[in-house]
Amino acid sequence: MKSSILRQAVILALFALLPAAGEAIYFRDKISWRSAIAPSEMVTVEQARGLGDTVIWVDARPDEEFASDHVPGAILLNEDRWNELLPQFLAVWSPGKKVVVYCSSLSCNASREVVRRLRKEAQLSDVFVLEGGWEAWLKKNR
Amino acid sequence: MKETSNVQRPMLNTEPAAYPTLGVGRSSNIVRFLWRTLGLVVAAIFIFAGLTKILDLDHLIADLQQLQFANALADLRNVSLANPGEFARDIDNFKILPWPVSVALAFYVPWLEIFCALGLVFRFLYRGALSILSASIVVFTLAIIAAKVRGLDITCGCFGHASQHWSFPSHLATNLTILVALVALLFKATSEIRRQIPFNSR
Amino acid sequence: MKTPILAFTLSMIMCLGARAQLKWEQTTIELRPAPNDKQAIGHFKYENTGKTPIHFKSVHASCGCTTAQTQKEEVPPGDKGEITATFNIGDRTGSQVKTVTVETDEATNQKTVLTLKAEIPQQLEITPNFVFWKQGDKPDTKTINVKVGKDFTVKHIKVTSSTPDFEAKVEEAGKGEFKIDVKPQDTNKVVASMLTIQPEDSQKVFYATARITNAPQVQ
Repeated sequence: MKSSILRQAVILALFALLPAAGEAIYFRDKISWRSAIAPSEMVTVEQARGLGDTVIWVDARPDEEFASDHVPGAILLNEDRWNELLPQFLAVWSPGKKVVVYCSSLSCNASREVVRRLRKEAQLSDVFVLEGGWEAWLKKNR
Repeated sequence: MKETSNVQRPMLNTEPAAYPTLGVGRSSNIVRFLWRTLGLVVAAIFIFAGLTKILDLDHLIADLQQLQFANALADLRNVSLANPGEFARDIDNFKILPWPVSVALAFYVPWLEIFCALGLVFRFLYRGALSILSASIVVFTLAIIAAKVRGLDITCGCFGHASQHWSFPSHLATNLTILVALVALLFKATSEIRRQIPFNSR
Repeated sequence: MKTPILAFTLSMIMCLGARAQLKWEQTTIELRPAPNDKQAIGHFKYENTGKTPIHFKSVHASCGCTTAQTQKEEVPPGDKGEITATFNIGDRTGSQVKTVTVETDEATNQKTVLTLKAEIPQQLEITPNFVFWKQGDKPDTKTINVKVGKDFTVKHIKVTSSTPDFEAKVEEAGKGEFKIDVKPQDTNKVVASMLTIQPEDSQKVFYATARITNAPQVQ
């Protein structure tokens, strides 16, 4: 009797896999399996460069790393001094601008957090994470 | 000695068409009706829970809550797929599982709920459905208790964003009620099967 | 010929028997810092249950906001110690997860990830914290919603604008919720104001920004 319940459960679990897999395929471009930021919220260095003068570069790294080197014209906005730095960023932003946020590398989480907060708290759209971060930018520009 | 012809072995994937023949009469019909209704109510809850995660029903639910049926009908015609990322984020907010597992569950759990609920409705793979739903309610309940203990202020996601304003006691009470119903149905189904297993023939 | 084989076999047996083992009391610590705390500190305790000393090759945190210190570089057999992970909260809010990766010279299990989870309480949740009008737009009222954190009680809030170009009015919007209606005098010139939001009986101050922006350039 126990194996009967188990067998029934396994059959149901397998049935449910089919539409779930179909849905996963349908949404493959809208949801990222790597991070909570959707693929539509990430840009590569080339894509960011293609946005031209409409881009505001935002550096989400700690103060010392920004001071050491950063994307030319980038604005510092990190969570250590969010309340102090946010108004300076907002003073530069205007509708139509695209914001590209980077931190040190692919594995760094700071840029995702900054993008999340700009989208949720300031309710800005067109805010993106730079895929690969500062490392990726350096590779393309040095 | 020959087996008596009216002894039946339990079927693996289907459930007995009728309840046990212990007493025929009005009271057993009423009892049977109540058990069946309970099963259908639980099934409806899980179908609703699954659909709120697969389809974007926020506007429809809001209109129904405000008794605006005309608007609700219009919403029904314009219903679209929900973004599974929202449910994945609800799961991720519990900070128990890695993000890829949250995404996988966001795709899988709603369909599992619906298939199990349909199993309750059509009494197909019935006990398997009950056991999966019971296990899932236990997991959801433990997760919201853990979140409460850790002070996380999160949406359970159990019924999509329809349940986002529920308080912790409401969530807990709802889940425990459903769990009690599921366990009762499972015990009932299991005891029916036991009664139908033949004794050794003499 | 037999001697090297014997020596090799003996050394393998000795290695197996002398396996170093760093046991952690817990690898995940959950903290609930108080609202005014600047740091959340986790103490990850360990013990060397093996028979040879263990050396820490590296201890590094997942972000610049977290630092990790070992009490000692070498842990003799039977010795205990701890790694202290200090998470500088800064202006972070909500659920935070920071990790510290520890590498040792153990034969097996060389890498351990220590996780520090912190739930940062937020007295006021302000959404949006930025309202704007484009130059030339109608100077309509825009609303900022303020929600009081569940561990706090705030009966009133006071809102002041840093410039007279914007007017801000506060209304209660239910239990633990407020609405701030912001209206510019006009939208002819590019101006900005810092809205200071202060809960009653609290020293802590929150901010929102109101701005008249340039109209977007036609591309």
